[in-house]
Formats: sequence, C-alpha cells, structure tokens
Amino acid sequence: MLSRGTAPAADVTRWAAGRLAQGVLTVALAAVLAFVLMRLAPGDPLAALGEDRPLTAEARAQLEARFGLDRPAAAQFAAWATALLRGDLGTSIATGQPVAGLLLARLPASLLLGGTVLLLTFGLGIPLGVLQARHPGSLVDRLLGGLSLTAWSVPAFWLGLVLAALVAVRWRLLPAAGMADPLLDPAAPWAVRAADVGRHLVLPAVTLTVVSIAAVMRYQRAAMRSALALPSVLAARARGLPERRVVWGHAWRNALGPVIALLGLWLPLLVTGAVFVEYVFDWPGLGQLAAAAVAARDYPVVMGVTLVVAATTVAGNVVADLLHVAADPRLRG
Amino acid sequence: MTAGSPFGRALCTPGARAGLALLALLVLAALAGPALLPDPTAQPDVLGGAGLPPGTTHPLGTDQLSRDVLARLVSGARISLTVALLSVALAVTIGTLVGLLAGYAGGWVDAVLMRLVDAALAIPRLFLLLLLLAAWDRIPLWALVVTIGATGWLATSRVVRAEVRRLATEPFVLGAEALGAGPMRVAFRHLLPNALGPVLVSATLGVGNVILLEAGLSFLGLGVQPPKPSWGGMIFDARETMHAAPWTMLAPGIAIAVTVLAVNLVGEALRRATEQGS
Repeated sequence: MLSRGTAPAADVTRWAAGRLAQGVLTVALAAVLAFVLMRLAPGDPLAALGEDRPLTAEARAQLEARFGLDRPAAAQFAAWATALLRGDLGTSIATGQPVAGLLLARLPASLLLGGTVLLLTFGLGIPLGVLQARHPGSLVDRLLGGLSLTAWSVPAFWLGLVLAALVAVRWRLLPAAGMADPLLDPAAPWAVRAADVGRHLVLPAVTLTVVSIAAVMRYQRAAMRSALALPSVLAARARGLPERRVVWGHAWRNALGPVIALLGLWLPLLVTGAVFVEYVFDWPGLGQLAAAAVAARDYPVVMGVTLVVAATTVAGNVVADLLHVAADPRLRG
Repeated sequence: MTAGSPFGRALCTPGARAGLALLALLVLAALAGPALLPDPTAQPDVLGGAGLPPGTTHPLGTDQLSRDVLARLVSGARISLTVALLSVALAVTIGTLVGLLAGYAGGWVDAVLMRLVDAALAIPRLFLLLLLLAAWDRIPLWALVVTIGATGWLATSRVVRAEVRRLATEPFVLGAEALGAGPMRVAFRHLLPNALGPVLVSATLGVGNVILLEAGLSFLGLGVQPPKPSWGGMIFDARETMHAAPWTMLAPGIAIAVTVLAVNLVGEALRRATEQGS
C-alpha cells in the first residue's frame, strides 16, 4: 500500500486521496444500485396517499408531476443527483416534508443508541477477550466463549421482547418503549430529561450489546493469542516487566488491528441501529424510518437513508484503515 | 472428507460434536415429527383449549388459537431449515462463481465486479430484502429462498476471490497452465477445489445467520406467511399471549437459539481448522 523511501506525509496524503475517491465512487454506485432496485420492484408510492379515498386521475397526474414520477427513470435519477449536488435531498412523498429534515430528526436517536452499543460492546468485549487469551483453554475461557456464542445465537428481537416483558412490564423497573416519557414536562430541568432518556435507552442498548459482544471477544481473543506468542512479549517478560505492562503495554498494541477493523465494519450501526430492535422498543431511529419508507415506496426517503448508510459504511472502512496504520507503525513504511 | 483431514479432525472437538448431535436431532424431528404430532394449523378448541400450559396431551402447551405449540415448532423447524439451506446453497453458488471469475480473470472484470460488490455491501441487506420482498402480496417460499440467496452472496465472492488470487501464482496452477489447460479447466479443476475450505466455513456460519434473518422477516410479516408455522411468526403471535402463556414465547425463541448455536458450533470448529491447517 504505502511504498518505502518517499516522504511519509506525502505518501499518506496520496493514499488517503485515493481511498476518498474510491469511497465516493462506491457511494455513488450504491445510490445507482438502490435506485435501480427500487424501480424494478413493483409498488406505488402514491397508493398510501389515496388510502381512504381513491385518487382521481387528475389528482394522481398532479402528484406525479409534482414528484417527477411521470418522467423517465433515468431523468428522475439525474434530477435527484443534481439536486443532491446542491445539498437538496428532495421531499418525502408520504409526508411532504423535506427528506433532510426527516433524517436529521431521526439522527440523534440513532447516534445515541448506536454509540452506546459500540461503547459497551468494545468496552466490555476487549477486556473479556484479553482475559480469555491470557488463559486459553481454562474454565474462564471456555465459559466466556460458550456464553457469548450462545448469546450471539439468540434473535435480538426475541431477547428484546422477553426483556421488555420481564423488566418493564412485570417488574416495572424501566420503560418498555420510546425514547422519552410523553407525560414528562418538556420544561423539566435538563438533568431530569436526560435521566429519562437514559432509562429508555437501557433495554434496547443491553439487548443489542448482549447479541453482538461475542464478535468483539472472539476477534480480540484470537489477535491477543497471536500477540502474546510474539518474541517481543517473551523479551518483555524476560526483562522482568510486570505482567500487566506486558499484556496491555506490549502485546495489546499488536492485537489491535482486527478489533479496529471490526469497529470500522460496525460503524454503520451508529446510523442504522438494528431495525428489529428499534421496532420492538419503538426507538425513533433511522432504521424504523427506513423500514417504513421502503414499505411505503417513499422513494426520496429510501434514497436519502441509503445515501447516509452507504457513506457511513465507506467512511467506516476508511477510518478502520487509517486507525490500522496509526496502530501499526510497520504499515507506514 | 476423512477423519485425517483438517476438517474431519475439527469435527471431533467436543463443541463440534455437540453441534452436530443437536443438528442431527433437529433434522430428525423436522423429518419425522410432523407425522407423529397433531396438525400444526388445526384449532381444535379455540374457546376452551387456548393457552393451555404444557401437559401430557400438549407437551409444550397450546397457543392463543388452541394450536399445539410442539407441532408448530417442529413444522417451523422443517420450513426454517429448508429456507436456510436452500438460500445459502444459492448464495454460495453465486458467490463462488463471481469470486472465481473476478479472481481468475483479473483486470477490468475484477475491478468492475468488486466495485459493484463494494457498492452492494454498502446498502444494508435488510433494506434490499424489504425492497424485494414487497413485490409479493403473499410471499411464496421459493421467492423467500431466492431473495435471501440473491442478497447473501457478496461476502462469499470476496472470500473466493482472495483465495483464487492467492492460489493463481501457486506452482501447481502455473504448471497446469503451462501444460496447456484451458481457463475453464484451471478454474474448476485446480482453483475451485482448493478454494473450497473458506467457502465451507462461510456457508456454515451463513446458515446460522439466515435462520436469524428468516425469523426476523417472518416476525415482521415479510417471511413465511401464516397460517404456515414459522418460528418468527410464532414469536409475533406470542407478543400478546406471553404474559398469560409464557411457553408460547419461550418455545420458538429457544428453538431458534439452539439451532443457530448448533450451526455456529460446527462453523466455529471448521473456521479454526482452516486457520490452523494448510
């Protein structure tokens, strides 16, 4: 990737520029792909608008002209893409609201849930994986491995329903749905409202963390086992360094790569969350918006969400690469 | 596959054995169960026999429409396993062919295919499935298999491509080419058999994934259509009844978890074998 000999800074810039160009191309292709698939799949975005009262031919023609649905598909895509370059994501057919506004309204909930889950899975999964790697084959290792693989096999929406039934409905400890208590005074102090959101966050975040933590543990365990077998670790031990410093100071740095790669792959979780868990807990994130928009054939909203998710996915890959280079000086050449 | 091969040895570990035993039990139940159990769609006594707790006549109780939960569970296993195996077989076939083509042809064919795969991977699979599955009012089983299979081959194609590119410079491949073997012969006789290890691993882990995905889709009403029993559909029905009749919720959830765990135990053992062996 990075050649030796030239100035590292220029090299990194060239490499980053290349990655960026490739990323933009990938996102553009993803948009074309989503558009083509959406138009190939049957369905009528105007059907929902005339649900209680069939649309007259005249009204339908008017609506089609307003949303550009009467023009050829290629022209529609071109119009969408040019508007996008001006920063305009279009208007939702189902609600008549600007798509950008709809996305922005859902983004905080998605970022909060996704960010909490990433923090919990990596914050807990890394030390657990390291613990497993330090005692391979031990009772602790096998117990943690078995438990996490079992949790990984549980359907998230089922776990969510069971947790909600027990913790929220039977024991009345936490709220079961939504992101805020509708009866809470909107003028309540900031801390009270934050605590309320926090209470709503617990169950969806725990559900997602339980079913996904196994991957982080497995990656960290495998990487840490190879790292602990390196000669540098043997040398550090021979110098009499305390085991704590050997593990976290010397071995762990060499075991970061795969975990960072996984973090990059999971970055889209920040924006899509998990549609199923959002659905079960009625969490007002982008995942629910996307599922509803796909079902209603609300083309502009589907395209908007796809664009955001594709961009996050690509950004996640680039960030993972950059962090990988930062963590492993050998890749800098 | 002999006991001496890395895969054969991998399947002798305790975890893999437990997984295989569970799977054998499940397949047996799915094959023989429906003949021994009541009709899973029958509603013998909706007024008096609904929500009965587990007992001698109904080992896992009855649901809100007095249907036998065990019978529905076993029929659901049959459908769930069939959908998972067929769609993964389809996905692996497409992924292997695309990966083989991209990896061996190289050049612009490789560049175009892999850019497209990258782009498709940037769209969440669930969006693609929701888009495609909305084409049917009542989704037929074959359509479910085809859409799940058609959206599941991307990762496999990357794995096969990487494997083929690694193998393409190996002496035995260069030798075959030097002896005048055509591209088709090199691809299918020399490259493919040696690239199958990682494919087998990703296929096994893919089966567990698809069982979870199909359960989720059926839960949303976009998978197996009622009254045909499915695990995801049973969980959807149980949302209302779980407080009075918890077995209606526990049975399908545990069935999914145990099945996926069994598949993953086998997949994990195979993965470890490919990483250590060769």
